[in-house]
Amino acid sequence: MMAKRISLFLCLSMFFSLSVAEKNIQLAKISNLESHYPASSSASSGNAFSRVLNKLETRLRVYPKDHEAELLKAILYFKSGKLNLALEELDDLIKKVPDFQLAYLLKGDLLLSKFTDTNNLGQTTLLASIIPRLGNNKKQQLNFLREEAKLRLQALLNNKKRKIWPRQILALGKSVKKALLIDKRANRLYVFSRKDSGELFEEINDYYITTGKLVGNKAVKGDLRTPEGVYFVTSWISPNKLPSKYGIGAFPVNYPNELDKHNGKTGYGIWLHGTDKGYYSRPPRDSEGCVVLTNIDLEALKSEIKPGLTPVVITDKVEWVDYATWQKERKTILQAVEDWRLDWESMSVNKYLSHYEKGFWSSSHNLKSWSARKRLLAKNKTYQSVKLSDLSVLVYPKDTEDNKQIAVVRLHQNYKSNNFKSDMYKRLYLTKKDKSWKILYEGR
Amino acid sequence: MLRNAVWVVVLGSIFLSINVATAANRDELAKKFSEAQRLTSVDDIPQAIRIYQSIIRANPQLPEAYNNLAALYLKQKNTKQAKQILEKGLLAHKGYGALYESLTAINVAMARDAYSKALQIDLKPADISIPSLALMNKPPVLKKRTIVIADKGIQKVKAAPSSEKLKKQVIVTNPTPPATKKLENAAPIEKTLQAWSAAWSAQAVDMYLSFYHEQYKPSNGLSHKGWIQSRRLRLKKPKWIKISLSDFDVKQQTNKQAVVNFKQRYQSNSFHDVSTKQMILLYTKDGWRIFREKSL
Repeated sequence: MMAKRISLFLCLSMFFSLSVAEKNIQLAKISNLESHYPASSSASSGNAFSRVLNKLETRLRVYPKDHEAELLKAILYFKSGKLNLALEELDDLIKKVPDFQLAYLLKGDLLLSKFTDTNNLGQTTLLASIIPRLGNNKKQQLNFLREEAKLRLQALLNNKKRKIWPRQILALGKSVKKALLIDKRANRLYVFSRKDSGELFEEINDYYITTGKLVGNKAVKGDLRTPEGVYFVTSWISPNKLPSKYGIGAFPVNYPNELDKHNGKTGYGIWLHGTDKGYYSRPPRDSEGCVVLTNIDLEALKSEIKPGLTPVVITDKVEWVDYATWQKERKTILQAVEDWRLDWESMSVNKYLSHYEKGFWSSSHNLKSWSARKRLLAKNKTYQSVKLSDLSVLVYPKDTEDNKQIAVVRLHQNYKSNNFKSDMYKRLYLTKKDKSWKILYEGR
Repeated sequence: MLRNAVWVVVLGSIFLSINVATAANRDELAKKFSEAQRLTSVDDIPQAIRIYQSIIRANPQLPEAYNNLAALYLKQKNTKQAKQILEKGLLAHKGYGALYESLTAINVAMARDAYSKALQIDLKPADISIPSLALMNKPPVLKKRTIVIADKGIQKVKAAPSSEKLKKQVIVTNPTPPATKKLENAAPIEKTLQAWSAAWSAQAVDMYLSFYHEQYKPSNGLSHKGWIQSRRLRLKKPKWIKISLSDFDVKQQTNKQAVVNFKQRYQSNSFHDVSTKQMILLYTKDGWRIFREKSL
């Protein structure tokens, strides 16, 4: 009978506990007693509302199991006064995902909203009367659910505003195809896919994730933090080999990587994994350092992830940049690698060695021993050819490693000389020194 | 299911209750109402508010006045007062007040259940108890003429339903009406059809249409879309409709399909008849839905 119309901004900001500004509510006019019940076509509309709704519908077409989109739809309906639509959406969702706690919380609010004010998620007098009897544990659980709702909603709203080129991923090789990019602060995992045309790629989906209990970069074993840096998925562990808390399985990543080990970081077992039975999702910061997805999302993502190939770039905050900046960064690093190749081919050892950073290391060398060895080998060369292909370029977030800028390049190298031939995949860590990128680490 | 049944009862009662005034103050009321609406349209809100307030003082059981007054308070950004006046309106009518409270009780119980799942706590399921009300001691005074408040003001209804019929309608406003009790024991199919007829009686078209299967084919050869349009017109046209069903005879029934015959009594301000209907119902994820319908 009563249709509330609340501006989209306001309705969404309610979840961030902003002060509730004046509500713009409009009563249905009793205009025609006979057409009293047009519940499904109730009054509110508005461009912002339908734009966001369209976006959610699109998400659901692309990924029908996008239960987050369904939840957000219900929130949108709820906050624009379409209570019956919201309830329908939620009931549908709960039928499909009977362990989605957040959906139940919202449903509780929704049922009561017909009778009382609900400003913040789970802030009804009914819940307020139940909670104190339950202890801090449940109070915290409620806060976690609020936090989860806020992050899921923020992701939707911020996605519209932000620039779209991630400084963390500058190139993906032909064999790699997909890359995962994680934003710890937004609790979000983005999936990027290489376009068949080659040089560019596109964002194909993003998911809510759970990360380490504590914020900040991982440094030592047991610090409950999720590491930040460029990692690669190493294997797949099926659920029958794992305790149930890992859900439908796990993809370990190579933490600690070459740089982490070099910097003395400790710990192990950083995985991307699923969610325990009985839960749809977990609170935003709840793991011991792992990245946790819902089972449904991990299942959808599973076929995209190739052990040994798929990069996982973990950041505190992804650096989204405009196309020009992104392209410039990409060209600079690719050019640095190309210069290294040319100077190597040129047979001038000095030029070649000028591409290596003072603090360089490899599995068995430092810069000094590496230089000595290269000079020795060069004596017997009359001809060399170096061909590089399948390049992926991944960049550490700024401020991760003592403000050093670091990039990881994975490439295929085909080497031929008068006395030697080799074919291999290599991983280079580059660092930016005086405006030029130098090799910090080289290894298979 | 229970929830739906309650809504049907609520809606039914709201639509069926016809606000009554004596012939003496009828004209005055009509004048006041249209004056208030005129003042609203020229944005003289304070004066319009005063008129609605005086209408309410004289006719405390007129939901339209409460609603429109609340709308004016909202225009003045006075949400609190709007809310209060709506609540007052609900409570002014004993039947609505009781329904409102009973509905609140059910919603609270459902919300408790949802919260217990959200936070994984073991809450005892709440006892929903709805107090049983005695039949309202005094059905609204029924004269030969009644007034329906509508959009443009007040319209006269020539032939009001007889007081006998209205009395029946008033009974529905009791939160535990005999009809509901009977429904709870009835077979799901009969329950569905009773709810269907209640929606029809309430002229709640969307709800009425929701009882039909998406592949419902009308027997007169209309397309589904054309049929929906014609039903919308037909249901809305009469001033009031009253449907009662009886003599249910389930001819055959499986888990998925049922054929049922029943007697349908149709009354409206302009027409009435009694017919025997046969329906084929299909069972869907939303319950039984009407697949075919014909008069025998």
